[in-house]
Amino acid sequence: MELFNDLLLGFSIALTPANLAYGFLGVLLGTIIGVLPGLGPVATISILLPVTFALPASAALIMLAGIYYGAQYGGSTTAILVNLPGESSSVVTAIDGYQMARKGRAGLALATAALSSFFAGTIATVIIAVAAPALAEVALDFGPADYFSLMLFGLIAAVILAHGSVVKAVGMILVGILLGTMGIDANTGLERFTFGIPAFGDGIDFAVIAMGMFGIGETISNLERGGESRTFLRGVRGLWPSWTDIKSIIRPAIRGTALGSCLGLLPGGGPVLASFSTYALEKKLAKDPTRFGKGAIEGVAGPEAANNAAAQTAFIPMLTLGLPSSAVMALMIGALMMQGLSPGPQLMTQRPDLFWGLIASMWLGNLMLVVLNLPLIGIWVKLLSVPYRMLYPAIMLFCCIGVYSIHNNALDVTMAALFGGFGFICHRLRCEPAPLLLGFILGPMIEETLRRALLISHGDPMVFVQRPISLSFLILAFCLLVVLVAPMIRVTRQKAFEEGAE
Amino acid sequence: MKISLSTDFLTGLIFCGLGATAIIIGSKYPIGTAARMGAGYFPLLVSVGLIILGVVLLARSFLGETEEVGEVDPRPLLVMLVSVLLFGLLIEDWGFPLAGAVVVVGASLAGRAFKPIETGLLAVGLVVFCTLLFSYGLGLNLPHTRFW
Repeated sequence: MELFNDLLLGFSIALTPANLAYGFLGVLLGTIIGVLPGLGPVATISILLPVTFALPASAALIMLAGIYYGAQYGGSTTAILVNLPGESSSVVTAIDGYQMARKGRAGLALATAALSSFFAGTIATVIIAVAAPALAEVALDFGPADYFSLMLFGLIAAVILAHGSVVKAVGMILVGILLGTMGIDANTGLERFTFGIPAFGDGIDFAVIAMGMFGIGETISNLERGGESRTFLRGVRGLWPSWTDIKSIIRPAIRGTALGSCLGLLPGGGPVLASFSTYALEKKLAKDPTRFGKGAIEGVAGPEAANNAAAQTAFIPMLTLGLPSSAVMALMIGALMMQGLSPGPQLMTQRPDLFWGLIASMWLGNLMLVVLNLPLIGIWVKLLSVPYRMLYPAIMLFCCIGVYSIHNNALDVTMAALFGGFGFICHRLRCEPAPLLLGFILGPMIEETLRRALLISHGDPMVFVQRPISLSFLILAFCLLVVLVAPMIRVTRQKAFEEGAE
Repeated sequence: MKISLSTDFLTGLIFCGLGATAIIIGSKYPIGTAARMGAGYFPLLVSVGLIILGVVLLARSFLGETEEVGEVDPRPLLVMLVSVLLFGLLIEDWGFPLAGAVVVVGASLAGRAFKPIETGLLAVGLVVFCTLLFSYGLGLNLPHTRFW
């Protein structure tokens, strides 16, 4: 009954006209930018982040969550219509979705993606509402040493799913942590790496890094790669699935939701892993696996449900432990911090309105996506036909405005330009920017917990193995490391990705 | 411009360089002990880790075959960065309308397909749109956009 009351509180917050409007605006803006090829959720959220600064905390979070779902959904639309996945989690959708579109079933593919996402979103919202309070209660017992080990585990898990070299991914995390130490040290009051510039006293703003590396850096990479030729389908007809279609969607959607909800909890690319493994599962279960890759509707329904469920359950570690499981969640934590809130188990008791309001708005956001996107699909198709040479200058202008308006400080724009250049170089050197952002967000927390844990234990590092919670995280982290290093398993991981990408 | 160095080698250099710079700058911060860490303790730890990883990458690039960077076109990088930097330089004294137009034109120049008239129209349209949306609609404080 308590759950019911909490949810009621949540809906009373999320259903106020202002919050409803912000949620709607978020979903709309998120979809608009997410539809543009080459811009995934991380870039979309970083670009739109400053828009939310002026809002009250609950409205800002609701709008950001809306942007997230919108961007995710927009990415699937692009994947289906243009065969250009906006980000890694919709790679799988592009395989069968684009084939369906080529066979004249684009409308059905889009409807399948929207409906199975909505289904998964509904279930995942319930899971969050039930699981998060329980987990937050457990998390209240966590000491500094436990948090330290947990974050270590999270970072190592994040490395597993980074594409390419493990050493580079770990290195990028360390660069991020190092960047995070800039500014006045909270414990000793000493300025670190500020180069005598007063504005660096608070450290670099994470929105500057995010927008520089994801917004500016990725645009430069896109330009450098040269003009892409896009072939896509103008006419989208037959939006509504027939009863037989629905029957073939429903089972894969349920399986995808179940698998996605579990995998989304894991730190590291939740939605990516979820969509790939669901695709593999559906292929195994199908009576005729050869249909996959040629426009099988299960190949759209399953992965789309899975990545949406995972995208949503990824909020659980973020809200209850303050631990971001992906770059998007790192951005969310940054947004919370800018609002003067610290994510963690206390959040739910201190600001129940915000916590439950966000959960209620998740479901509303998913509903809006269906209501908004299916009728408006014609507009998204038009947006896709705007040439890239006109789109990216607009994106650059939004980035500049966004960065400038964080503190009305021109120095931030200069920093964003530098990070844009660095982002491009990293891209060419096959280093992913996402681990850097994760390290940057977690860095100060890691330092703080390490300090406190060792202060309490009088400098004895054994504290990390003496506490059972901490020890179990360390053992898990160690197991992951073994998995990473064992070459045989690495080959399998490669194979799993290739199999999915075929 | 073709760069025939391996990506591992260059990444290794960057990691080592960043780590070494952080250690040199951070050498004046007190280190303290594990129980009472000074401001320099944690950055030193991270920098050392970064240098170790850098060395691993350097070693790997000498021992095995690794991917080369290949063809790099410096034009988008340079033009784009200069136009964003110009935005930062211009915005406070010359105002958003000019700075914004410079970014749009600069960004268009960074690409290969530059069309002067189209870009001009785009710049004017975007600046007007953003002024209305961000300055009047969302109440952001952009310099020199309050005309009335």
